[in-house]
Amino acid sequence: MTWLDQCIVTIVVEDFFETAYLLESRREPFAIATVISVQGSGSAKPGSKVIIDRDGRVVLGWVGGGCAESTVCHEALESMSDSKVRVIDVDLTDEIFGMPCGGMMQVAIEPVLPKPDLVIAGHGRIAETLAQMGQLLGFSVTVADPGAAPDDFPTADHVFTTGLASAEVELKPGSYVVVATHHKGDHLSLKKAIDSQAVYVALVASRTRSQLIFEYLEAAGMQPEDVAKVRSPAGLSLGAETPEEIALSIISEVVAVRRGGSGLPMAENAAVRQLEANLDQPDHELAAPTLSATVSGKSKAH
Amino acid sequence: MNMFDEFLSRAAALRSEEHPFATAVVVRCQAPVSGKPGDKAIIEADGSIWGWIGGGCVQPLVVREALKAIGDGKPRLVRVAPSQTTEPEEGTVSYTMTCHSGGALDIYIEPVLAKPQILILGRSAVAKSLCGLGKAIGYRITVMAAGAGPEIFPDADTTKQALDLSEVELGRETFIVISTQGEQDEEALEQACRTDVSYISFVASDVKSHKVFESLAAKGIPQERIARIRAPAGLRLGGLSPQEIALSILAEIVQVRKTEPARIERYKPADGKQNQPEAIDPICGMSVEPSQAKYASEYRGETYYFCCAGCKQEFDVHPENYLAASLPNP
Repeated sequence: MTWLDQCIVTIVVEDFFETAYLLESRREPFAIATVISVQGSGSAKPGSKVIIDRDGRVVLGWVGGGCAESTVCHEALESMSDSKVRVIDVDLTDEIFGMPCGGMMQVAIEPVLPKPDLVIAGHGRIAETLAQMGQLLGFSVTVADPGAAPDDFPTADHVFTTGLASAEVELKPGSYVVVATHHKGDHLSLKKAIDSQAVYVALVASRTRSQLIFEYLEAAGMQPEDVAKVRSPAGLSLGAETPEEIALSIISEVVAVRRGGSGLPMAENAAVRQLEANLDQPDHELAAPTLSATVSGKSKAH
Repeated sequence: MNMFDEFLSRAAALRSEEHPFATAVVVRCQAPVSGKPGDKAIIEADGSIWGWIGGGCVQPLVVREALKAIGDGKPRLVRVAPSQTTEPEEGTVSYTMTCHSGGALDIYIEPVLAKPQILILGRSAVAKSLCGLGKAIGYRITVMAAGAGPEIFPDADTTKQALDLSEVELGRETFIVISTQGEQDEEALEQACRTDVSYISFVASDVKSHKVFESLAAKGIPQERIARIRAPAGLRLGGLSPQEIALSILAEIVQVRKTEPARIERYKPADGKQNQPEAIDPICGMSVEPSQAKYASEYRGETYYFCCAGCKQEFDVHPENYLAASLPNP
């Protein structure tokens, strides 16, 4: 957002929700900081809010001056980078400039990040299911393929009937790109995806075909380590057979990459294994305490 | 009604009843054979066959391959030719045809299986997302929970308002996900434990599931039943939203379904027909079902079965020449 935009937002839209909505609809990252409790005296009250933009500047609202605001803005930037909600304690006795207020406050900071882009080059059942699931998983979905009929992608945000390589289709850095074209343009689509600094590039193709495409990309001057980042075969190995299941394995891989998951079963180290281990122990009475002692130490939520 | 209409209407009826079957279509023939390209048959999981794909020699092996296709879920191309002079081709199952006609047939066999069913217990946000995602990959969705109506679960094929697993048909391809999240957790787990389905998972943290498992054990539910429950449900995709958790569970279901060895036995023929010992025609090497074989000969106290009269005649002239070939099918 430009400085001028910011002024316009600040001046014209003084309403908190309207500002948040405006930023969100422009697909701008921002954070909301809300004072949730105050001990002692402070200039902000519980419920005081600020909206902080991607540069760490307050767009709207008040949570206190000086140090309080800079601490909140710093944490807001952190929350935008790790996309985690946090609650921070702000010590109001630390004021360096001016009179310390002498209180404490807790501030909850929530990042609001634009939906990531899932860009699908291709048409057909895999692409259709992938677009549908991408929308359900919170992605902004773009489909680009000469064979793509907009009717087949009712939930997609954008459908281009040109190939992904066409200048018409913009690829933002940080996108998730799946090339499932199965036709002669796929090497060009891949080249564009790699050049765009996508965080995930996958190619749906046979081993023979993907080998040919990788050879082309290297011959076209791409670095082998960049080419090696392309995931092919695409998707987690679920044993997928139908086009719908292949789409599921790809979107699962996309989410795992985005969220840092391993793709291994959740239950692997969990209570189930403990119970299984206990089956070997003949005495049920003995087994139960062992179970509680081992499991309580590690809690893994989703 | 002509054959094609009847083929379609029978297939549609079996499909709507969720009965597994396989279709067999003659795709190529080399005269002289009695089957012609386009001839079709439907083979059900009990081994019964309707339609026409050629004469008696071909039928038993088509049934056999069809039952295999129903078992492993994979289509196959079956080639029945007079001799195996050519190299076996990838993706083709070859059989020897020695019956008098001397022709050759290619038959394409494709399984049509019932959709896998996901049975969701609970009406949580994860349950709702799982319903939508499961529908997107073409699985059949049944939701069971107090207050779970079609208005909350528009994508579900069936909704049941009370938690009672005896109300649902549970097959080998049923996957139970318990996403009650506080509403009737134990009742749902207890009922699921008592079923024999191959996948049961519980959407909960380690701590929570451990506590509930302990109370199930205290109720006298055997440990080996409780240990079948996967908790926390799903693969580690790292996501935290209900949609991401639902996706991780669906991915786990597909993985379990496609990689667990139980898959081969998904559909056992009801009357055990497939398990009958097969006899080998000592002349042509074809397998023959003794119970249905029309041609048989006694020689030195053993009974030999043949696919056709020609083989029997040949055997009867010089039985001693063919004994080595009649060892049981490995």
